[in-house]
Amino acid sequence: MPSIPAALPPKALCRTCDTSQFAFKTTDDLDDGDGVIGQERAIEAIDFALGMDAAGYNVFAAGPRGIGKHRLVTKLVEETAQQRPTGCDWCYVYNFHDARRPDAMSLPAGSGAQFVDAMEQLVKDLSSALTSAFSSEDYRSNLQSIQDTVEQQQGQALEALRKQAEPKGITLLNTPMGYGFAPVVDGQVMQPDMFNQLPAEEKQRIEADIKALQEALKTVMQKMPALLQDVREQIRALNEETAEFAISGLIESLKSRFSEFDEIVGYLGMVHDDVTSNIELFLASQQGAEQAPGSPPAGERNTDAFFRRYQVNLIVDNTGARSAPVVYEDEPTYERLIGRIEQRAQMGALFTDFNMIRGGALHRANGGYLILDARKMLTQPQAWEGLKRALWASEIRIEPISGAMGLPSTTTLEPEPIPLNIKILIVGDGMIYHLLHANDPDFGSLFKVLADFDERVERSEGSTHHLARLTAKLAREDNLRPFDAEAVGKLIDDLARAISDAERLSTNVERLEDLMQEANFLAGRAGAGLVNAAHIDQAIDARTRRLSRVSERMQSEVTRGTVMIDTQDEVVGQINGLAVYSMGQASFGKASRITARVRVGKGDVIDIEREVAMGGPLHSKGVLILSAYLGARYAPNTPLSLSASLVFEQSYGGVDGDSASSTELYALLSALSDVPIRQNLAVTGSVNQHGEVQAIGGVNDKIEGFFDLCNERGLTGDQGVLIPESNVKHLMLHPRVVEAAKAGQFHVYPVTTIDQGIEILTGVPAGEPDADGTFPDGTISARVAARLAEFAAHRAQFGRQQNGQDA
Amino acid sequence: MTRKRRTGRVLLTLDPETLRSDLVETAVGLARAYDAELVTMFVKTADVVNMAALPFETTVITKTGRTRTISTTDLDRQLDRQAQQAEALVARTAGKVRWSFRVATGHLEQVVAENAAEFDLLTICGSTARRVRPVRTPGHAALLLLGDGLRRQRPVAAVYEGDASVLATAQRISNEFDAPLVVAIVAEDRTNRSRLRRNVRAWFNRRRLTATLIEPEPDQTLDMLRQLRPGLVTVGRASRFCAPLHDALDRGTEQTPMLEVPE
Repeated sequence: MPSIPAALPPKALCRTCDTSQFAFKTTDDLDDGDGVIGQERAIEAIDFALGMDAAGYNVFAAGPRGIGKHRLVTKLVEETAQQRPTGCDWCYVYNFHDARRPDAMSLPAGSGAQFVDAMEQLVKDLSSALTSAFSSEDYRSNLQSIQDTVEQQQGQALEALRKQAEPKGITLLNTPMGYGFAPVVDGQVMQPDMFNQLPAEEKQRIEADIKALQEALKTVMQKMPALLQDVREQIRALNEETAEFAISGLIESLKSRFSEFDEIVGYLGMVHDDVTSNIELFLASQQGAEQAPGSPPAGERNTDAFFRRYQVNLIVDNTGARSAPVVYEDEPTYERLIGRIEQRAQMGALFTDFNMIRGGALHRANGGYLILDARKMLTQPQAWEGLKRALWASEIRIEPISGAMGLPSTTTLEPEPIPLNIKILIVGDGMIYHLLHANDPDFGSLFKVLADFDERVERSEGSTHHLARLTAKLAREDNLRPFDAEAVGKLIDDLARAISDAERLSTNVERLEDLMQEANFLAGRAGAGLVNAAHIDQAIDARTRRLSRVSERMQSEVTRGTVMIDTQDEVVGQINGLAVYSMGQASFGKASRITARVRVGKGDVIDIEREVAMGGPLHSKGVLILSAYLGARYAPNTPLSLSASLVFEQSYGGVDGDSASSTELYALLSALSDVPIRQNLAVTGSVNQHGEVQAIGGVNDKIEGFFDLCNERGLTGDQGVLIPESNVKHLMLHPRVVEAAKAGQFHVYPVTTIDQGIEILTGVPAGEPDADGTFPDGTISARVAARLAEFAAHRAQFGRQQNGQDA
Repeated sequence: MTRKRRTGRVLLTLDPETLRSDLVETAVGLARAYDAELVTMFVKTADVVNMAALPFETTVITKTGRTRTISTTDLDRQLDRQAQQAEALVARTAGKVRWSFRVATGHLEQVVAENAAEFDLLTICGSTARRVRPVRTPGHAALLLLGDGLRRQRPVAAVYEGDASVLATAQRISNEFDAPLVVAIVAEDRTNRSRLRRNVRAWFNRRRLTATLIEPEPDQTLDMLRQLRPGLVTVGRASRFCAPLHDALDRGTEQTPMLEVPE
């Protein structure tokens, strides 16, 4: 039979950091370390993925918030990127064959900006060279000569007709509809009245002469279109020749400068051809210049518009980069990931061209690494789908989001897709990872590597030192005051407390950083140059105080007697259970009165919480275990003729978890044995069918909850809590509890079995059965067995009476 | 500071032959240079109106060589339409220049003669300019025979024989149209030529302006002007070169616009 355990010694109630192991006085004496606590599995996974070049080996870094996933992923990626070559520059240029499909061009890092500058300069040079060439005396005289030729030919022909008409008393007139002939007198067209008075022969002669002249004029005019066409051709040839002379030197010079880039050389050749073949557009665009023959409408006459097509739209500029790009996109919308095509409203219409293409995070990270936040990305329409499309196709195809969604959109560009070579690292919590894996068939193929971050790490000398260096690093990064060794020890204790485990430490860097910031603030307010342990305690107390409104209100209702919890005396079938309440950041423990009533029945243990649908499944499971335990231990050979009811008194919310199952069993045993339970004790722990007490969660909050109640009413020296022995390693109790334990005012009892627990609670031994299965007299077990046997006898007698009446 | 001489009103005559945007632009530029109001007068020329009224089938040949029969009604409608186009063109081009628009019917030279007194600059375009010669221009008005229009970016030439108003007018126009200014100093003898040269230089120095000076012999002046191919020749009304330039214009062999400046 296991002996009754003694209360735990105070040092077992909280494992504080042994700061004597620290060789430093303040965090200023420590280096930064690698800034990582534990996470070997995740580091190994990321390292593996970063080394894999095969498709789909992208990473999902999964883990709880605040444990430094992003920081670690970034660090590892940046270290790897240092070993990789820089990404390429990417630009879009005008497609001279199909303006709707701009061409993409890849250049070594830094060359893109040079190309942009060179083309900007070329455009300026072209403009000035062309302006100069087309303003030159040589060009103007050649042009004038061509124009004079046609004007002279036309003028001479009309003049010849005019002279031919003159002796006949006829003149040539220019009317709104065309040229006409009319008889003249004294240099002016003959009045109709005067014409009517002419002799008939004269009139006929004039009409005949006019008809003949009209035929001649018709012949002249019919030659004009061909003549004008010829002139246009001549002017075009002159323009091309002039343009060729003006630009070829400039473009050839640029070709030789970029001779190592075939794409640029080919592009410059197309620029050359385009300028010469569209020179009329340039001439027409010159403000204030004479409109060139055959030029387009005035609306298109704009020099900037003409030269826009020769600009280079650099969408990725890696100038100055020394390694592969690492990009974190903080706002991963579809457009910020994939890129977009901007549009400009012009006279009520939307206008775009290749200069308005904007790259996205995929472009910037191409050839390197892109880090994304899972939740942010998944909450953006089409962002996830767009990312997957790019990864499947290994290319970035910029299209409007409306197009990606299959919705109609305005006519726009279709930029040439850019090949994609990238490693994506998504950071998110484990739930998102599992949801994606379960619901998106693409996910497993595209994100083959899970970097599974652990929220806790073994508490060892090594991890403690790691944390100390991390503290030093954070203090420096956040520009905080140095922390002394005691303060660092307190910070480490808080990380253990955060996960309620004396043997492990939380990896929640955010919590650590928050506490450091708050303590630093308090140190500053106190005028201290160093942050010490007192500042840490103050910060923790202040945080607790900020979150304690609800717990204090609940406690006050107990002390005022509204909620009935006894902390002294003994009562049959009544026990103090412990529950943990979680509300946002706040988590605290409170005592609940649990009562049990028994009578003859059919072996049912009625869970009233379950009956009214206020009990969760785990709680129901715990209660059902009780029946099994009672039957097997106390009535193995007779029917369990018991009907018991269990209830959480004054519980108005739901109850779940099995941490009260041992408590409920103690209440049942008390009710069956009619032995009262000490009300100055509270109990937590689950139980199995063999009566073994099992570990539960929230042990620290539960103990502190009952302690605070007792403390408020006044500690009597005999108060305490029963916890599972397997929870002792989790104890990280607040110093106020530890101090009370040191003073013998409060006790924590570790139990491994129900027998141990019931003996502590009642002061009566539980009793072990002998070889016949008989329990020693006076023990709890003997009383329970006797009561159950009594119930069975009553039930049998009742059964017989019933049968007799039936007979 | 250069103070502009206030000219007051500039007349631009347009007719079916000369309804062209570049001519309107030139007239607007002149009005701006003179800080004057531009009055555009569209003339329904009597010859054209009479032609349509002749008692036989009247046809015209279009610029594409097609034959088209016209009537008085057709012609009136077309002339009205052209007048509207002319007004719209002026409205579109004028910018901040004050402007007004009129329509007149008659022979252009008569219309000009009847209205000339109220203007300070008469701008006559196209081949009709040749018929304006007989018009007696009021003493205070300048006369611009624009012909086929100002040649942009070509120099403005001033024939200087001692009349400073020629220099002032030429400088103002060259400045407005951003054209270089060439001054031809013409005198019979070396003494006068030196005097005129000093005057010209002093005139430009006072205004901190520059111009190219040439000094042709009087009998070579017209040839030199032809070689120069100026955009506009400015000449004093009393100049000996007025008549020859008019004659050249009349013959249709010289297209250079001529601005005749009153003394």
